[in-house]
Amino acid sequence: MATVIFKATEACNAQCVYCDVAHNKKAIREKMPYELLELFFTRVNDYLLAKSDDTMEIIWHGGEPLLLGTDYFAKALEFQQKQCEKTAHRIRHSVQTNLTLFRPEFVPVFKQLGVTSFGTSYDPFTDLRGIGATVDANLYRRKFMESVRLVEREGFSWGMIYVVTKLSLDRPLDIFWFLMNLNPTGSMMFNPVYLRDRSLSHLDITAEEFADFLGAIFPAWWKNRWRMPRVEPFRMMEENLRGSRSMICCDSGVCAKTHFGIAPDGNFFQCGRAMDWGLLGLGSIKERSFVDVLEDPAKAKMLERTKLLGETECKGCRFWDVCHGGCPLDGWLKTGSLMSRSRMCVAKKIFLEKYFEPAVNGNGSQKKTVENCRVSVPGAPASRPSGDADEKQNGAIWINLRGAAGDALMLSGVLKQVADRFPQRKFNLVSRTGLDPILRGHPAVGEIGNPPADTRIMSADYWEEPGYGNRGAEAGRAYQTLARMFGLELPVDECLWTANHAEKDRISFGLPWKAGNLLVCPAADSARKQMSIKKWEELVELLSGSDTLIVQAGKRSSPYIRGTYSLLGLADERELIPLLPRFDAVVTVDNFAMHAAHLCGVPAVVLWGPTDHKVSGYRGQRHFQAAPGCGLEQGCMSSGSRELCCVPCSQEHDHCLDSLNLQEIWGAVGEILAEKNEDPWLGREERPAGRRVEEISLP
Amino acid sequence: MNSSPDQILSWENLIYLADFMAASGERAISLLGGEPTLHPLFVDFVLYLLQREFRVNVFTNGIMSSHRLLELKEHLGAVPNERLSFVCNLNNPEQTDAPAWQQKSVEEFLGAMGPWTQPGFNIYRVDFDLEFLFDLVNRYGMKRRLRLGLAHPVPGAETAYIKPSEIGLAIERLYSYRQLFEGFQLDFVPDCGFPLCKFSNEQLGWLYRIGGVEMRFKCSPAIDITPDMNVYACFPLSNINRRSIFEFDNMRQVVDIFAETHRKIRAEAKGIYPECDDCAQMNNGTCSGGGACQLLNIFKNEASVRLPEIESELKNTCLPV
Amino acid sequence: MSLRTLVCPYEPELINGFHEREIAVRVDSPSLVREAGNAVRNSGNRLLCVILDSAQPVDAVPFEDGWSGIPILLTAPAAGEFRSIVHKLPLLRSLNLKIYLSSTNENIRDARILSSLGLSCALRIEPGAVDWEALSDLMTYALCGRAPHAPIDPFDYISRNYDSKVHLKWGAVYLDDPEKYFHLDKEKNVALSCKEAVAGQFIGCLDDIERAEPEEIARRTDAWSRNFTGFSPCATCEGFKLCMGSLRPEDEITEGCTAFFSETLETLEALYAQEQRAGKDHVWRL
Repeated sequence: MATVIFKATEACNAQCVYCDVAHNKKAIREKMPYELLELFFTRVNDYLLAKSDDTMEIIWHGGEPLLLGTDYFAKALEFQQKQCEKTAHRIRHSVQTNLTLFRPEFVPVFKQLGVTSFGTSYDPFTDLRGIGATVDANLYRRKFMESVRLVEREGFSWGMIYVVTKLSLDRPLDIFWFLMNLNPTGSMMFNPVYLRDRSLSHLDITAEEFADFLGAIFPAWWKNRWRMPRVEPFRMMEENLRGSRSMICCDSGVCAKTHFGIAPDGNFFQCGRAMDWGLLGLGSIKERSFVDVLEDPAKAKMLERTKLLGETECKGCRFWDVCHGGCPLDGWLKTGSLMSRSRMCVAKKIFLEKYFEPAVNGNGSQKKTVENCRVSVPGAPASRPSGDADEKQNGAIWINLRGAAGDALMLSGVLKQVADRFPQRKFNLVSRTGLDPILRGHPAVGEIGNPPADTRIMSADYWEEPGYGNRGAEAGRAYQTLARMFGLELPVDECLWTANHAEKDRISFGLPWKAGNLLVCPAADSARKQMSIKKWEELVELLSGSDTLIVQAGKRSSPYIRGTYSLLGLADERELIPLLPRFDAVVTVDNFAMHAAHLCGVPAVVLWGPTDHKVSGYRGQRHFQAAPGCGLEQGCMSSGSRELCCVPCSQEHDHCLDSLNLQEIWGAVGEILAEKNEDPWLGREERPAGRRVEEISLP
Repeated sequence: MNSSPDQILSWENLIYLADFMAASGERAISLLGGEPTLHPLFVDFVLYLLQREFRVNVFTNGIMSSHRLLELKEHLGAVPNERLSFVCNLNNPEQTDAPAWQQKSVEEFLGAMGPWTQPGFNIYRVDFDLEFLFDLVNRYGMKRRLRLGLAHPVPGAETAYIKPSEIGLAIERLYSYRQLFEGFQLDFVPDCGFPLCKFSNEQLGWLYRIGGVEMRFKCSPAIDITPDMNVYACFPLSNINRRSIFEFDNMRQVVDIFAETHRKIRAEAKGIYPECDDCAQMNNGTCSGGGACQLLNIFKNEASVRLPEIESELKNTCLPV
Repeated sequence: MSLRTLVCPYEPELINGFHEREIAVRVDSPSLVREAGNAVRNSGNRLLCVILDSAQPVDAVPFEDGWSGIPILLTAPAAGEFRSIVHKLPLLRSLNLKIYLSSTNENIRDARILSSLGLSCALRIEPGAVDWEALSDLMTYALCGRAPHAPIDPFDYISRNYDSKVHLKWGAVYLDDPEKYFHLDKEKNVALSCKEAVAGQFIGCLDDIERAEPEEIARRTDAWSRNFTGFSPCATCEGFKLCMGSLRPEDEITEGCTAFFSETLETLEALYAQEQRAGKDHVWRL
């Protein structure tokens, strides 16, 4: 859209202190003659015919355009209708006015011109804006308020520019709320004052001061932006954050392509401010068309400025896209060169870094880590068992394990290796539900109960250990980490062990065994490690056959998988161990059954999601690892993130485990069942002596 | 903002709680304390809750001023006893040192509100005597259902309570009154914390015959809300995971939070007896394995190895031996 | 000029002189409620409500079954004893009744009680000794209460009419809006608010005013804009959009009212956002 700052007069009824036009002796106070006015609309029409896709915004500016009077605007309308018959629908009129002269008589002609909004400017607290030679600020305010009410009653919208001066700096929020409470229906813009007259330097502000002014009001706008008018530069910055590239002329870097100004004598200028300062003249409307002007080499030079700045002064600035070096006239004000960047770009930078980004992006506080549950007696060594002498002096160490039964089975295996190597080493165990049954009777465990207050405690929470979960290293595996914690030299065989299992299971005699017998164990201590019931049922349907029995084990409260033979609640951990060897394979998730299958040497197909088979799964088992779709590449329950254990997965239907390929799982089970015929021990009630499985040595 | 100090419930908080309960689908509210009838607006609050279509149950010791009793008679005397009920906790006058005026006050209360009132009794010693109770029930036309509770250990307080090792004796003592229960057709439902295993099959059969299917051997969050709008699972666990009711949107969330607290306690120790670990009735959910408050007792004098909220509770209180 | 609703005393001759007007008729005796309501209806005019100004608390007002069908605006100094009101609740709920109370602490509390029991209330908020925090608490209940309850004005009116882009006037809750209501005496002299009518501050005769609207009305309508020319502290208040300076305290201590109206705006915005997300009005009303 091409924009013309159209000054049909530079006369003004106000004498705002910082206004260049009001105090410019060379300002043209007469009205643009009608001949030129008509020529103007001819040029408008020519432009729109030449640029069939473009529209034109005519901003009636000044001085004070309402001084032109209703007749003048009526004439403008007449000329537009005459000269722009076919292009009038692509012309938009708006008016920049102090509104103090607005009367009901203006309404009809503005409505016919299609004016829907007014831009204005106001200062609630200082006397910098005033009417007449005496700069009567009170009169200005009164007239302004009356006119605004009239504007609203007549259905126009209005927006405002507030010019920030030194006098504004001590009450930014008062100014902000005052202006918001006026309830402009259009945009609100905060601009720094630009002063050429050094006698007004007491009003001038630095870039830092402007940034701090914006910073003082930004939080109030940001918090309430939904019910606020559009406030610049805030809204523009927010939109740019979201990818839109809407910018005002000063920041776009391409104002030369779209803007120009016309003075009352018909002379062209780069823009309104250039006109006020007598810079960048581009000839006259009498000789030149709008296309000529927009393609003038001087304008091309302005575009080069943008390129030049991007390669020099502004190179590498991360705010380039919302600034482009600012207004060239700002730069000229500072250095005398139009090719310099604006002095206010510092303001923009400070504002964005100090105020905007922190508010929009949050404070960036560190996520709190889970409080470490590892405890020890103050003054006593924390963890590792250091030797027999130490124990003799201080009594047996109490092992505190906060895990589940599977962790207890791993601990049992590690402690068995400790006991084998160091038979005299004994530990006590803090009693906890589910652990005692696995570890009772262990040769390395003495007492299971409540540790006295002043005793040595050793945490067996291996997931808290440094190095745990490192997939690239064997030492990062769960079993290896636990072994290291108990002083074993790595790598160790990942053997499991328990003395306290039921001698014989009580229920297998009643099961309808078939040629192929599978055990499925869908439940885990965390819902995140579970695949959905629906998926399990689909898998069971795949696995089912006339010669295959599929049994489900787990707690009584676990959901039942249709198609399985339910042993829910009938076999706890101790009772599951003697039952397992009756099965040809176990299909499970990361739970006790996975560990127990390893203990018993029963082939297992294990389904993984938030935890990692490379860390916690056993060699020899068949693992299916789902890729997390939640953005947590390591899985939501990898090392250090166990706090999510009890929190339901937010992905619901997109839970990682539900993305596993059931056909592949079925295929793996099929392979196991086929291999069964090659292994004479598989599927037999009796196995070679002992419950230990000789694990394949780790490379 | 409350219209009264934090020690007593304000109108604003009462309305908030009524809204909260209604939004949660709860239709019954119990008022307890301390002694709820001491609240200056007790009658107004009951009338309000009745107007809000709640069924109101009041736990009281029956000791109140004559003025309060008069208010009860005047304003609550016509309320159907399906809508309003009292549980009056009764103590054996011979086994306790209660002064005569308290006994008289209780009898005056029962004289006025007997038909609305269910007797309550807490077993805090194994040689308790229940005979007085049957007499009161008959004399004042009370409801023929006894709310029978076990006195539980209260953290930080030197109160009498029944230890796990004594529960069997207490049940034997209770069973010795079976003729009176049957003769006067008084039934009872055991309150929380009774372990199933301490009842013999014969005792269970008797319980079933007089109490029907309402027997429970569970311990689960009862949910108490204080005048200053804090909420906890029950009084013995009042310092564990105490929260503000304003943190929740409905009762389901409250129950879930404290059920999780219970689960965490049970993850440390399953039940009050070693046998609980392997107990089938615990596994199938018929019995909770005694009160969670009793479990805290197990951890006393221990090193700091439990969950932080439990450790904090143990540190801040002095559990009875 | 649009015809205003007329708020006038119960004078049959006065009322019969109007034709097809909307009328709110004032009585100060409960015995006149039915009579006044019927008189307006039978006169060919539309009855907005009967305003019963009671010097007694609500629990002492002798409500009647015969009042059902008559919209009643009851002004009372207080609610009275709760246990007295509770026995009358079935009758009160059956009436088309709105209870207006002043904004004392007790009334703020009682408005909540009555609303929770299904009785519509309004609090007259006057500048001066208002416990803004208590009022804020009540506002939160009125707008966000989780259980169904009767409306509490002015909060209900504000929430139904709030538009973030415009200033909101809610004097209509009290029939104090010069654009909508004229308060008359029996001689048809017009005052622009109830208080002015009581004080005898009339701006002219109804017939004259309806022929040519005096400037006073426009001045009153635009009175809020004088905050911006008179350097009022209200002009820089975050909550101005809802208050518009109408509750400016004489002592110019504005922390309380500022906090109250700001919080109300935030609550309204939150409700609006909720509504947009859910696509329906979350505030349940009887």
